[in-house]
Amino acid sequence: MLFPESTRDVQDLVLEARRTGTPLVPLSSGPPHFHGASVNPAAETVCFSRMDHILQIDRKARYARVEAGVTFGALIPKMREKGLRLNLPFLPRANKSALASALEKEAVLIPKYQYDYPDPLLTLEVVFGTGDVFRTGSASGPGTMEENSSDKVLPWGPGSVDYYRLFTAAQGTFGLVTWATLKAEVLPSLSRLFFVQAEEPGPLVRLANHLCRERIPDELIILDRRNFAQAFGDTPEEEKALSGAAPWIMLCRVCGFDRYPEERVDIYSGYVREACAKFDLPCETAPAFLPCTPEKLEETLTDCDRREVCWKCRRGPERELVLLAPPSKTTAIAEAIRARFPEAGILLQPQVQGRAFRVECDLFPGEGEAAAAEAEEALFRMARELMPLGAYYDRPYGRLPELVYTEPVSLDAIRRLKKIFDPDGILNPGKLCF
Amino acid sequence: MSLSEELYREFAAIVGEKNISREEYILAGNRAQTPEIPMAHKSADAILLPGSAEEVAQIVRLCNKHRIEYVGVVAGCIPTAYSTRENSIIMHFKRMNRILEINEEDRYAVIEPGVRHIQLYPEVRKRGLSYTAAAVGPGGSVLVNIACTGGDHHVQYGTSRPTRYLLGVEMVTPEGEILRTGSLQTGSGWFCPESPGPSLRSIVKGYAGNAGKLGIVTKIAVALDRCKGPAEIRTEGISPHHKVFMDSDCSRVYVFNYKDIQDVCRAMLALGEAEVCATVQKYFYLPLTLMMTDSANEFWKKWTGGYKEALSMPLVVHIAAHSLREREYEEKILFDVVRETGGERIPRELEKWWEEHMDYFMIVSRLQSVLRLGGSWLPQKAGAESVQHMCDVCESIGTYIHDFTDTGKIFDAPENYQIIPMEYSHFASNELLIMWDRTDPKAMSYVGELGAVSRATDAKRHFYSSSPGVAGKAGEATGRLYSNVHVWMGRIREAFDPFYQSGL
Amino acid sequence: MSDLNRFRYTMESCNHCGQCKWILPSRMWGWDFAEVCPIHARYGFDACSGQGLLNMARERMENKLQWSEGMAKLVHGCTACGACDVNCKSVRDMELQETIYALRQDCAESGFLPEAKRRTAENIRKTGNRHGLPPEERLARLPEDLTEDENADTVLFLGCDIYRRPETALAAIRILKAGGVRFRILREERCCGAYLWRAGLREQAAEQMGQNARLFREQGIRTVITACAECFGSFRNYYPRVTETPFETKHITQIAAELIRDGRLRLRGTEKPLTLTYHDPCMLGRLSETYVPWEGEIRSYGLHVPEKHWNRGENGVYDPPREVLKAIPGVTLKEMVRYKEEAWCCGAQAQETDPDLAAFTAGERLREAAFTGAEAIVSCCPYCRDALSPEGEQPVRYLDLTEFLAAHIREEAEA
Repeated sequence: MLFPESTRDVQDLVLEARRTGTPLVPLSSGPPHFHGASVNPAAETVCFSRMDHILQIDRKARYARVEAGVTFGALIPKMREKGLRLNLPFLPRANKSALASALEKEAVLIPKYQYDYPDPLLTLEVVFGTGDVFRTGSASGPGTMEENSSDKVLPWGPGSVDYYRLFTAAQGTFGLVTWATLKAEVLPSLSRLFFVQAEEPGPLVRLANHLCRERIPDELIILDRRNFAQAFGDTPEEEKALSGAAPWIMLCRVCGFDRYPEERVDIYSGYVREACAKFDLPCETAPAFLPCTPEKLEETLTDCDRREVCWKCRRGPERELVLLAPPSKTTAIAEAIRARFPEAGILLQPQVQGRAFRVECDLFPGEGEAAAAEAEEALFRMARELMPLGAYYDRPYGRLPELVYTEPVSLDAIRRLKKIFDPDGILNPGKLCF
Repeated sequence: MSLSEELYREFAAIVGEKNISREEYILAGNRAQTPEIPMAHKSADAILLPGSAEEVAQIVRLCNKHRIEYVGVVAGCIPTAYSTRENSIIMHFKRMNRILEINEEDRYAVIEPGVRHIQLYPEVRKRGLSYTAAAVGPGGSVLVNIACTGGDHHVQYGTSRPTRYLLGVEMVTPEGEILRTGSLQTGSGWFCPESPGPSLRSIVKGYAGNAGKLGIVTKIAVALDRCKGPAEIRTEGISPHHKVFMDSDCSRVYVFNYKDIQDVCRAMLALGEAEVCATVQKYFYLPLTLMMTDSANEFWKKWTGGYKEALSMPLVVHIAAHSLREREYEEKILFDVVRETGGERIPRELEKWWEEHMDYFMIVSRLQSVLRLGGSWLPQKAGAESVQHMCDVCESIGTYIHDFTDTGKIFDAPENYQIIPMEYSHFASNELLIMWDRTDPKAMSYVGELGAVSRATDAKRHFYSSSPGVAGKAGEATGRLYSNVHVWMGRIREAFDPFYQSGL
Repeated sequence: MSDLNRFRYTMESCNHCGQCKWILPSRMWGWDFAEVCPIHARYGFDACSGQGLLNMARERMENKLQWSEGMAKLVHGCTACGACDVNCKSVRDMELQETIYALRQDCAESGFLPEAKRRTAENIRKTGNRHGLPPEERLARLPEDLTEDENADTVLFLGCDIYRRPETALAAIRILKAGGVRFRILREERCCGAYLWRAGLREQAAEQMGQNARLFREQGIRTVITACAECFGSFRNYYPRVTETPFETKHITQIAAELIRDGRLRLRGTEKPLTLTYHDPCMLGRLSETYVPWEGEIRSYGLHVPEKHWNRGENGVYDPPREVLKAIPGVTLKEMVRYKEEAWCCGAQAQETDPDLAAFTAGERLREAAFTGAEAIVSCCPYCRDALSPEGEQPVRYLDLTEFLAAHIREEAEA
């Protein structure tokens, strides 16, 4: 395992790897590694844990610039000190790299702040497979990072190519990202969390679509009862109590900021209640099954998972299938998953202003490689079956490339690009379609 | 050099006899010099009106085979819409003009290049939706704005830049293959722009578009937002004096004038942090005065009669709330912020113009009025970064522009720049709009001089004032300062268009 | 020598913005009915549009483009309807329509006037009417017992249409009489000359217009009433270019609207409720504004010295025909998407040179009319009538407004 401490180190590693033909695989977060950092026994792992500097947190322009090894656990408190928050994934583990989370396009909790799929990723620095260092968007120049007087937050370009999109969901195949600028938002000064329960996912998906369309909620997530209990129950007792919820639960939070926060929360709460009434769904702020205060649950929701064992691993090993779907197809996909895996945990998260849902199916196969392999196989079969229903795998981990890299023209195009940025194919070979 | 008879017949066989012409009078419609571009355009040898992506692909392959340049055109109001050399053809997408789908639930519309803003905007609005229509005018191509060119727009404060609204893309590569990006690649529909893994969306458009140089975009899905306003806009009057009635207690427009751009900056940031108002922008005063008048003569009267001072640094704010209570809440914050930052309401009779025209699509459609002063105009800078950085860039204009405005080299409007925040003031775009007297034989040299001073100032201060150009010798010079982007762009271009038939 | 040089500023100002091709936002409706230029909608090339005609005019002015039959066909296939001009002027200080007229003048002077137009012009020269019919047949269509006021200073100008369809003139006479308007008819009137002007035959047009103007002057005419949109637009917009016009021109719908407002014309209802849509003839609407000559200098940044009067289509006759229709009990008026200054042309002006284009243009208008749910499309121009009532089954029928109004006048006895 290689531990670079600077961009220069990364550059040297890549040049050396090029010279020796050694494959490189990046690793940014602490364990467990859900998607398998490397499957290539001949590869060297480039571990970014020592590149863990928070380079800048800027309140006015609302961003944080972090090295690849900066974890959510370290970053969130520093952001709060400045009155800022990240658009977080759902309970990311504390040792998860904030940069890697953005590169992997993990589903975010606040769809209104996400205007495009790579959001909250803004700019980044990358070492290509050629050994060249490149900065994207307004971080590209003019001149060096120190000379460039901009805030380096503009994601697009430079010029007529969106380079940063080449590194998202790329699993390190196009370059090793050393730092990135992440979009931040104002930390609310007041908030209210709503719980909406339903017997089926459909009504909640429709409600979520409506709320997002009107740009009302901050955090919004739909969980099935099992994931809900597992995520928010700190103890077996709490978990049991939380299991008393309806089969599907939506969490929806509205916030106020520095100016007249009570008024905003009140107005937006009214909108949530009106929408729930319109969809004939009950809407509560302190449902009876909660074993803790709503505030505690809200606190958990808006932070990373700092517990010893992160929520997904509390039932032992976990295997998951993550997909994207448009709102119109989300319900059918969720129902198909439930029909196939009655015991699965399911998450439905509206993304990009609610124009798509990230659907996650979590299986807990128990200990043992055979059980894990069986779960993976079952998920892969499921993945194939969900495609005609509209499932889209934009983050093709594991065997999913078999399903998505089938179209020759686009395959040829992405391979041409790969050839430009990693001409010797040293970056994570064997992954995706490379 | 004109096309051989045989080749002409081959093109005609693809599009049909009715949809191709090499008549000089038809070619004349796509080679005229326009007042803002100093050089004469080349004439294409033929103009073709393809009807489908398949036809476009066949044309591209034929062009490659015979080393003929092809240029894709819809509205034709940008410099890249012209032939650049002899032995070229123009593909005009007038016939590829279908709205293929408007998906209300998933909020996107699938369109071909020939669909104009004046067609799509009302169609989506009927459905309570809207999109980020650029300030190009009714006849501008939606697809070109969103996928192929720059395309900042005036409601991006509460939304974002159009580039964020580009979803699935179908394009014909420079080799004549039909490439589909995003969720289209796996047959999963139009909703997602990102390819599985590293995204091919990257080469469709960056800050600016590729203007067809990395592929001719034949279909796109445009993401739609909820429209905060009535499904149909009620208007009254006859052109050019129509008025708009918004019919809503939830909608209000206010215009404040400022003396210092840094105060404007503070106001934009404060409003963005509070997430209030639908649109906020520092507008440029010269076009605004032109939009408010009916002729150059009337403009001159008003410009010299008080408008220039009253609108010297206008901050235009539109509130579009869900309810009366929310509107009042937003107004309260707005007025607090304006008070704290030293803004002042402009005279009522001037602000009323905004009220009577308050639909942004309709307002910016009048933006072509800037051409009333002779048509010679040029946006400078036209970049984006943080609100503070854009305000700093624009503040620096004052250090050099007076040498040009005070001496009559360009129009005397030194503060004629706009700053439009986006994503609730996370970023902003800027644009310095200069106009010059086209009857002055030295005007173009002044414009060149100003451009050079502007670039030098930006370089000295290391401003990211615009996205760098990456083509040609100029691209080589600037590319070095921007992470050698010209090198990477050149390699991408070479990988996708080895024959450079899609124009220089 | 054509007038092309006079419009150099216009030609050099065009930025290809496309406003001349597409409907203005104030009238936008959707994907359909968004185009305003018939030649552009039909042929698709940029050259086939106001912008394209400007580009051709510029190349002609600079002697870079030679006339051909195809070009002449296109230039005369353009119906010169003025939609591009209105749209262009909504944001620009350019004289697009005038440049098109100058281009046609250049076409004629270059010897490329299409044969059909040459024949019609010859008809007018020989007989004083477009149809080439003997002048003596003109009044033969009027009733023998027609009484006029020989001393009236108001004339009902009958126009060339009297030769083919006297019903409209008779309806106008009935309206005027019912309203108590004193008027007379001039035996010596000749074709208004609009056709000639639009064909680019400037001298012949001037001669023709001069004859009528002289006649009015000699006869002491102070008001000219016409039921023909073409004649109306001609008197208001073309005549001032070539002759003095010490007379006021009124369309029959303006007179009728005044009479109705004053209670001097009483109307009876339709037999059954009737939904109609009104088609604005170009020459009654956007092209009918009084022409104000301007000679001057265009200085830096578009300053016109002396100040120029702009015709932008704003002061066309739009409301009186609608007022008249709404005044008839039982009538419900529904507007098409493209109406008033944005009206889609009927296409009649292309009939001689490009019948396919004319049929397409009229078909578009009928389709748009049907889309409103109206049972009939109403207008008040003989050429619109010809275009919008072609043979065969149509989505809506055509009604002439003057005739329709006359048919719903309530006679004293009925009252």
